[in-house]
Amino acid sequence: MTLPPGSEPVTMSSSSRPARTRRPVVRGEREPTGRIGVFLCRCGGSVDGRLDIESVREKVSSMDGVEECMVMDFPCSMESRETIVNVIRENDLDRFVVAGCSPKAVEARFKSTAQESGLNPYMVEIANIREQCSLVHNLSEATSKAGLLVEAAVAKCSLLVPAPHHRGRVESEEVLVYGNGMSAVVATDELVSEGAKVHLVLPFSPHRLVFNYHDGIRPGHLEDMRDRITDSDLVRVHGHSSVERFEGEPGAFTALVRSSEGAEEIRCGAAIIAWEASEVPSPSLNGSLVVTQAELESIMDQGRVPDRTVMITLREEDTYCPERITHIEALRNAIRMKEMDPRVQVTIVARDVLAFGLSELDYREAMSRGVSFIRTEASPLITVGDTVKVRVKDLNLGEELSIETDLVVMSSWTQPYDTGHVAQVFGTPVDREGFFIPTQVKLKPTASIVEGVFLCGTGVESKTPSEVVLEARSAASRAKAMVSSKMEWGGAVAEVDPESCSACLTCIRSCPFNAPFIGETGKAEIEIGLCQGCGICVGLCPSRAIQLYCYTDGQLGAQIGALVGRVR
Amino acid sequence: MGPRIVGFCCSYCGYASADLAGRQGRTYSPGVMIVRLPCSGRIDVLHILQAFRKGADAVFVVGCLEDNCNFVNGNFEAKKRVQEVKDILDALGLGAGRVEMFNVASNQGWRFPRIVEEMTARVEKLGPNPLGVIADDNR
Amino acid sequence: MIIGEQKPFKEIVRNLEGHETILVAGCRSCVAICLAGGEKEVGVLAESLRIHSDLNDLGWEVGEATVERQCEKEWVRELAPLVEEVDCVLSMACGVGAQIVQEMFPDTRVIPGLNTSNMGAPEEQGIWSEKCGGCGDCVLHLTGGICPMARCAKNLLNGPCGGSQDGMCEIDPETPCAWDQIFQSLKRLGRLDLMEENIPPKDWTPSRNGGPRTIVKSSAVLTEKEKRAREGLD
Repeated sequence: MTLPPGSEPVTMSSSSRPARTRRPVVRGEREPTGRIGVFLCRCGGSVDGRLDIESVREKVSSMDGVEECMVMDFPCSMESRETIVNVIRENDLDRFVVAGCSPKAVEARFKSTAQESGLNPYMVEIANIREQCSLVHNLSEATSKAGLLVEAAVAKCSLLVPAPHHRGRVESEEVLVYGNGMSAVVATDELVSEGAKVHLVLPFSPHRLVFNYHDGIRPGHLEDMRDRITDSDLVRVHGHSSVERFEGEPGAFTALVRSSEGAEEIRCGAAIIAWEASEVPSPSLNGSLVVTQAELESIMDQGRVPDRTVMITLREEDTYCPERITHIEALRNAIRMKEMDPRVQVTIVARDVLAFGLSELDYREAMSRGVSFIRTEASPLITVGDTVKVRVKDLNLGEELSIETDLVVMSSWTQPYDTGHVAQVFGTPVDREGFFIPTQVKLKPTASIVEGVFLCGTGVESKTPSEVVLEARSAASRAKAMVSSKMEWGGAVAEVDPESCSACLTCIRSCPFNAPFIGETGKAEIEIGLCQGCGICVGLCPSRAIQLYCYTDGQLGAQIGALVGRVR
Repeated sequence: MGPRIVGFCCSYCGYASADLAGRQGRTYSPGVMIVRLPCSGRIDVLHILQAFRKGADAVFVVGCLEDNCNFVNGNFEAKKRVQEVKDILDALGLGAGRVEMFNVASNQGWRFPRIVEEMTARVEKLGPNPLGVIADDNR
Repeated sequence: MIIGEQKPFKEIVRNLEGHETILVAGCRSCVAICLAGGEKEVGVLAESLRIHSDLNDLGWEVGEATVERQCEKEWVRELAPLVEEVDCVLSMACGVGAQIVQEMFPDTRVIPGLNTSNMGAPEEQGIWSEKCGGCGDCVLHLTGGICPMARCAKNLLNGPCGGSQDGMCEIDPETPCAWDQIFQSLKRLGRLDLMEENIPPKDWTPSRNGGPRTIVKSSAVLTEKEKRAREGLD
């Protein structure tokens, strides 16, 4: 079944994705027996000593299904782990509860303890009777609450089922870099320096890559980098090429790269989309008296600085929306001009000066060096003759000023091109202007919603050249780390019961990670490799067809029942 | 023990702020029972109703600050579902104030006891859940 | 699909007066897809009813069951053992499903939990618009694929009324004028000539006003012999 046509192609999966909910059984894991072990931690006095651990043990021991309940000093220690493994084996337990400190600290440890005992690592429940109990309540309160918390953990644990999980297979440690500019070169360079093999796919010949960047980057540095990587044994350059198809899973992607010589299938473990946006030149530019900020930088590189300069940071069209770096750039160049010759006049015309972060210091410095700022609303009128005249309405004075100047510098706007096609091939969404949408800038920089595909470059957001370099290196690092690590998929992931599924498309429309798709059976399926285990889809499914391992409705219901449980 | 309040906390910010409150030596009412969720977006209208039917006096859901959800949209979804529960509680005559959504950052240990205080105050104002007929040793 | 909306809780409770054992019955089809009466909504409503019963000491017993399609007898029949135990069924299906349940269980009162509204489609997740008027005499080929029965407030057949303003209907500034949409669509299709084709005054017999409609596809109807061969199986 194919999804309805006309749906946004870059955010909904298409029928080209095969039904692949993989649920391989991990060999060697025990058959469920329903026998539960409970290990209570003394936690060096932060639990025992602040509540009566013995009475908790007594209470829990009598619970149905609890075969063994013991108090230990530090169940997380090496010695205790051995004890736990033995207890599990001797008592034929298939799941256990650990009550002690926060699961955020010890969960991973006990998962591996479970695995050592031959259990599925997701058959463990941790009860927090320390940070959320013994440390915050008095002795008798903490004791009765701990009893309830452990009861609830046992109730939930009794309903746990082995969760599907498998090692990601890394079939290729090569990385695909698909780009059109500086970030592609930097990312490739970083990958090469980390020893990774790279497929560098460029829409043109690599020699067309030229760089006119400043911002602390030495002239020629990027050209050297470009030449170095195109010569490297580790890099295979696909010039005049495009990526037409991209499928697979992290560690085992297949891309179809098409050039004038035909199409070639390449394998890679990760991909980086390193796309630059193009500069949209202002219609007022004339190359000599009205220039861009980059051209101004070239002028200054030659040692020249005009006597009078007016920088305009507004756009000619009505739509006023400054780029992220408009004012950062202008301020930096204004300061440089004043450094070269403090006598020159520099005026910046702006609606608001958006100097954020450390650029705020530049703003202050610019002002203290005598850079003038004119606040206006509409784009000024520029008349070019022997010199240039700028007519601008100053909001503070309420009057129109006519400024004669030697040079006018227009800020540039950027526009990414061809990103729609790239987005469709890779499944990474773009916004209305064509910029790539990163998934979570603060917590997962350079990540796209497609696991294994990384984003960098000004095609994501306008940034200064040094930021481009940083981000490209970051993306390359993450890509390399991914293909070099032991990836594990699965665990507390969502799963659809096809019998109950109404194919209503709700989960597909709501998942931020594009994990659900309509499979060959016409029902929804969740791609385990993409599922992040948040459970958003579970609560939305109108037919209750989706459950989340380790947090099923039944398990949560049992937990709630035990915690609140009243006598009626 | 104080009013019985169930707090559904997301594994990232919510649960972490509660842990931090403990490590910072803060105290709050022991009637608060925390249920861990992977993300506040896992919360289901049904779970909250089940909590009330079992006698909970109040329920709160703690997720990350808006725009900071580790799963991008989870806390927005949770907010919508909490609103749905509020409407149902009003229709039932229990009072929408008994349920609330909070957004915290993981390093805001100081907020957790404040959340508990606010919900406790609301229970005082609305009265205990009439369904909370509980044998004393269970409270 | 059929679009319905859950009745307000207080109204449902009022309509359940006099009953003590209730089966909340959902459907996995249209009403699940428009998020009104699927298993999830059944679960939430049932729990709400239980809370209401507990709060007011009504002693209600509330059960839940969801079938694939409540409009098909074979599926509704699956509810039989549960219906035996209750004195009423609160149907969360569309009006069709609710009626089939009543037909199948004539001795148990059926109460609707939904207001069935229209035949429509989602504009986006959570928002459904009426699309088809169910008039039984489709003229979409003449109207650029836009139904004047459902989408024109006056059911006009040959162009907009004088109240059409800037492409919007006079009854609501947010509602597009269907005839403006029809015009735009035919223009895009390059078939404005169709606007000149006169759609005659409607014969309402194929529509609801001619009484409840029955559609027969004779090749699908089982002959007497075929029915006899299946005797005892159904």
